[in-house]
Amino acid sequence: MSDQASKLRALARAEAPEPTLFKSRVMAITSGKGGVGKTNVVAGLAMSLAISGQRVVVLDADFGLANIDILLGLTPTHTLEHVLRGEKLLEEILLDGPLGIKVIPASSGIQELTRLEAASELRLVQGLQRVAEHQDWLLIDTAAGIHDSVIKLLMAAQEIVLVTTPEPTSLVDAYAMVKVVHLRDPNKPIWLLVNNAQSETEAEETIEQLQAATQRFLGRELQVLGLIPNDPFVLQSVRQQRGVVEIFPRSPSALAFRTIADQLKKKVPLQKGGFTSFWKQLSLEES
Amino acid sequence: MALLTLDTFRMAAVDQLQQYAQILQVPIHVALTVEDLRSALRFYQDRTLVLIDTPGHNPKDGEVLGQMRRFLDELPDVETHLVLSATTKPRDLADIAQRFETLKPTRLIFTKLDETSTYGPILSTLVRVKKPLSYLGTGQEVPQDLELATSRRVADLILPVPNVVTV
Ligand SMILES: Nc1nc2c(ncn2[C@@H]2O[C@H](COP(=O)(O)OP(=O)(O)O)[C@@H](O)[C@H]2O)c(=O)[nH]1
Ligand SMILES: Nc1ncnc2c1ncn2[C@@H]1O[C@H](COP(=O)(O)OP(=O)(O)O)[C@@H](O)[C@H]1O
Ligand SMILES: [Mg+2]
Ligand SMILES: [Mg+2]
Repeated sequence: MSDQASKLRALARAEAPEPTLFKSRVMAITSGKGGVGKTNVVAGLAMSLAISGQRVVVLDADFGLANIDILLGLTPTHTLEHVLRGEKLLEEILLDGPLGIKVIPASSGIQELTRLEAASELRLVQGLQRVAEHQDWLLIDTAAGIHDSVIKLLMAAQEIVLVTTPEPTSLVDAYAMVKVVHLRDPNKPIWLLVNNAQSETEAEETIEQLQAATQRFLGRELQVLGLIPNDPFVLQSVRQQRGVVEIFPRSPSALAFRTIADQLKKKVPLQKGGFTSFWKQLSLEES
Repeated sequence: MALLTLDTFRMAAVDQLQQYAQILQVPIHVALTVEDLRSALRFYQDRTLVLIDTPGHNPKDGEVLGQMRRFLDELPDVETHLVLSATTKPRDLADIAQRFETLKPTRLIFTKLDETSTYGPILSTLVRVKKPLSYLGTGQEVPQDLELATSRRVADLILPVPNVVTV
């Protein structure tokens, strides 16, 4: 390729032999019903990925109940709100979380991510672009439920992790979520994660029931990511405002998170410009 | 180094600068408001160099110029270089330079030296505005067609040294 900048490119290449190509994976973590453990899952997966050498940034996009910072005992002085207003650069609000993960804190009650005015969106987008350039994963903690703004984020992300518990209500809402996403894009990868399972049998039953429904009514099979058992250490770590993976690494849930993170690493392809396309999608969905 | 741009008038301009930023592996920030710009300058204050791109203006558009001035007035530490094309007619050059005085440029850059062979207007503009040159643009290639302006170089342009045969 020869253009005005070819010499510049050659010069830059000489200086940095392998310019890190902008590759990242953008995953949205969601659920039909609230309180199923999404935020814990995001934290658990982020830390597990970090342990296996991945660079991870977490975006708190649950603007209604923004709380990943609380869960991890972080105290943001500034949040996305300041970025959206142009008072801070995204880099300035980034928090250093446990095990090297980065957290982009939100504050409850700010405008929904997808109803931003153009200027705010540009501020967020370019900040995320710069930040994600140095990351392997962008994990997005979304709000629960089938709201336009959540769906828009899901459709924009590269892949979706759908969290459900074995409870029938959670299961029904999870199905509804699959349906909405499937109708918009039948090829959007959805990973099923059963949280808070009392036993492996219970988790398997949950998966079977959901699979039966999606196959029968949508003709679609979900990819199964695995299960996180019900684990008293989760509540303990929440109380201490620390990640379970960090302080109880041998606990059943921490081990499960590690296994699932390995699955993700193996099965989710790196997308070149994955992040850029994420935002292009997000803007397109607007119309 | 860091790149900032105020040129959001054309999205293509942002894209273009973003590509340069990516090649150079330097951060780029688009500032929409004075607040954005101030935040960015604060954040990048430790960088050796922060380059700020601005949108091009019709020099006769007083309103846009006034807007630009409000941006720059907020940033007393920023050095402003006025970019002019060597292909512009001498009278227009004088007019443009005068209109841009409001932005208090400290230096001039002349581009498109490769597209003309009359360099007198460069000198007369310099004399008129009493400001030194900083760089000269001599073609479309980046970065080799941008050179540091020296008085020797300008003198050679105005009074070319006859070609001496070298062996
Ligand atoms: N021949 C020539 N072309 C130039 C020179 N400087 C800029 N250009 C071209 O002029 C066009 C506009 O340049 P750009 O930097 O985008 O100018 P802007 O609109 O003022 O930001 C591009 O096609 C450049 O390659 C120069 O010194 N010589
Ligand atoms: N695997 C688990 N075992 C035990 N308790 C859990 C587990 N996962 C989540 N919880 C509990 O469920 C509650 C809600 O979790 P949270 O991550 O905040 O859900 P969401 O983000 O979906 O609203 C938390 O108090 C947490 O302690
Ligand atoms: Mg939550
Ligand atoms: Mg320009």
